[in-house]
Amino acid sequence: MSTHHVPGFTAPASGDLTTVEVAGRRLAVTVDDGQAYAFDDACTHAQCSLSGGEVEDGAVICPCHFAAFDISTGQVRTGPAKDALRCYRAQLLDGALTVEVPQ
Amino acid sequence: MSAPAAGTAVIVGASLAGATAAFALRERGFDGEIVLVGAEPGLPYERPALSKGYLASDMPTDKLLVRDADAYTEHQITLRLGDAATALDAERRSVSLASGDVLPYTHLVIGTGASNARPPIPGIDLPGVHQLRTTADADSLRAELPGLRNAVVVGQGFIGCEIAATLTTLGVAVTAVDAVPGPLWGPLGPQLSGLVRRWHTDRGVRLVNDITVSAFLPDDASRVRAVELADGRRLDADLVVVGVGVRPATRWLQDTALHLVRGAIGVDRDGRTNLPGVYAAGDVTATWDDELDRHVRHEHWASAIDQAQRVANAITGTPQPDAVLPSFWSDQYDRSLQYVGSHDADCDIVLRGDPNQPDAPLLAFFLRAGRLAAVLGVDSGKDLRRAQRLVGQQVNPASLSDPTVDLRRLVPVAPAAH
Repeated sequence: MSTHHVPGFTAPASGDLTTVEVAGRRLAVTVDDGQAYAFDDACTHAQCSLSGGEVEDGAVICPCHFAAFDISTGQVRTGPAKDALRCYRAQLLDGALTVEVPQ
Repeated sequence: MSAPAAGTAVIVGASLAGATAAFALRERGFDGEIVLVGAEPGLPYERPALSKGYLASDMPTDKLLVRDADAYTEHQITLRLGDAATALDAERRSVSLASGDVLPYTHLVIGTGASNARPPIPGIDLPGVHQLRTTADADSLRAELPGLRNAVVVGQGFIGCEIAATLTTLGVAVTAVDAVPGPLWGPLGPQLSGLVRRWHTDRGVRLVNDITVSAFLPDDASRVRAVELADGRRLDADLVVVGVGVRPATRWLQDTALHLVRGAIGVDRDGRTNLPGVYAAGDVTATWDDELDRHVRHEHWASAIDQAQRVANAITGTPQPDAVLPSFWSDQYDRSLQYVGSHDADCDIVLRGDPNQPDAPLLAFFLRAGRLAAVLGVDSGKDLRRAQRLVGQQVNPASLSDPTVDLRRLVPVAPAAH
């Protein structure tokens, strides 16, 4: 794992998502109750961009077919997705975002 | 509430609906035997990808499975695959199978789905003329794609449009033919059909409308070579895919007292049929709709799951959640179309977005006497979810069409006093 600082990060409004580029990966980031969550920006079902969706009850909902993934674990809550979403450890400290990704 | 139901549950149709019902029964405490019967040889799978991602790639079939084999063992669901149901004896409460076996049931769930309509067009049996329903169909179509130059798709419904899009994306020159005036004309109406037309024609698909196919013509090797139209025109075709609708798979039920509605099994919103202990879910059903005062078919992925879960609730005495709205999606090229609700030709359409910009997001609201009946979104999934809570409510059309109005803040208006 390597820890990456994300320069110029602006937290999205509650329920919204934004995207960041970290070590060549495009990640979707949401902030819920002060905690940042980062995961792949591609739904495991049909690779739609999850950042175009929204977060509700701790789950990110894909804008294409409404698959829902737990934002902490990546587990599928509702289909049509079958495979879990890859999540990354993220931290928000004084507005600055750091994300851990595999090297 | 009743105690967890026991007895034997026989589920006919190893489909998304059938498998969902089987697992849902177990998860709701049903502790009797569960037997899942299917005509196809493999485990139940999901069909949406067959016209899209599966067709366009080398995706293995196990990516489509509803659940893997271990899950059936863990849930003690007995599989009877490759053995079609042939008869129902509702008096004796038993189902006969092609193998000759007779399965007695306490509860019967029918989820046999639908089969493709096969129009009696001369030449439809020629090699190179395909239909798409099963993984076997998709595999034989997929095997023909390498090096394929041109194809004719007969039918501009959802399946025809999706196949046309997938083939076009793979570099095949596609002509799509239908007797209706435009793609998705029936489900979406003239205005939105025009938008879908642009998706296809902008990417080089030739759409031929208002004409029927009179024959599929063979080459010297008796393989399809051309499609002949009713006006004598001929379209070159190295391959043909026919997608002209489906018929509910109820032929095996025709001699029973089961109430059929234009071939589909008439059910209430919890999947009950007119026969005691007999339920149905998925594409095989037509569900009674109080609003429309008639049975309606919802032949979509989400409906199959919802109906199967409601059947499992009904059998086990589990309280039913609020009815979910019918919904579906369709992917064509990089366009993602979503729909929720239920509309008909009598509805007014209010647009948010410009339908003359075929690649921009769009929302279409269908209003019946001022009440929102359905919402269609193009690349607008987030807004569609926000709008769906308004379905069934009186809404202000001006607010719906105004893109500066946040749909989350839109509240239903009280109906005008008379």
